Amino acid sequence: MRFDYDAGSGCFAMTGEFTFADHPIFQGVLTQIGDGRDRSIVFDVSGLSFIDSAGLGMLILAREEARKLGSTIRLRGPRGQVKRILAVTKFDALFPVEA
Amino acid sequence: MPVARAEQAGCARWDGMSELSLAEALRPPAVFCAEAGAGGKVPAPRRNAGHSLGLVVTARSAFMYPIAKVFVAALAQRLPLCPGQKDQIHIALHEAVGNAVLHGNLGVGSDPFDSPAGLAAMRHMIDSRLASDCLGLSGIRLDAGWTATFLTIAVRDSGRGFQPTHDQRPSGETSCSGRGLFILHALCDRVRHFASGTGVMLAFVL
Repeated sequence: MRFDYDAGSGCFAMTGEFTFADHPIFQGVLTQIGDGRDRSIVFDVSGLSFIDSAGLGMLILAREEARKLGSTIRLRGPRGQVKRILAVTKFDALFPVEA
Repeated sequence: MPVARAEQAGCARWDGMSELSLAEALRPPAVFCAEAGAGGKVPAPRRNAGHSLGLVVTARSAFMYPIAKVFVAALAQRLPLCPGQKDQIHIALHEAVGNAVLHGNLGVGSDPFDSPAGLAAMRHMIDSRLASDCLGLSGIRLDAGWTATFLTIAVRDSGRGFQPTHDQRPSGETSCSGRGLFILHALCDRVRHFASGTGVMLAFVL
């Protein structure tokens, strides 16, 4: 998985496959989240082609870290396998999801 | 050619160097493939001809490469799978292989990583165990068999096994871990644990 962060809009644009092997990369996302308070953060997952249970767990971890700082996270643009796994695990009830 | 193709019909060896070389090794008419150096308690797959495909890889390679994706692509070269089925089987097999590597061969506990520090500690533990030849080279075995209407894939690890619970849901809706088995049960038509939890059989109606 790779991500580009736009500090102005608070948007993380994620691309590739997001799996357990991406722990080190995701630490960078957590660091960016920890740098601000009371923000509206977007995870643009439209460029993700695959996510596994560990990737979902890291999304939850990011949500909890954001919540401690008064920030919120919403998901944008899930497609294909990512959209399917979000529905199977009912993640669409845990995160606001934009088309 | 980067892959040492079988000197014996249907048997192939994978050099462990890349996703592409694994795809090449699994190309028909291969019936089974073993990664060079894979060891541990996992025996070689059955070499029965016909509607089957077997693979043995090291824990290190199973963590590093998208083994499930390549294996399902190889199955799709042998039996008709629609894109939805390929996705379904790929997701489920990916979770099964991930469980086999982390909780089986590497013996990583299923405690949730509930903080950035916990995530980093878990990653450190995984890296150090993968670096050990004893665990990193231990084997993961996949055996697929199919008929016109049914596909089964068994995933075996070299670990100590575990006792699956009846409730495979995550421990809490906001838990950071524990969704792997839930996903398996949601996407497979049948899931059966065997060999004291060192094996899991995934079944799909085609």
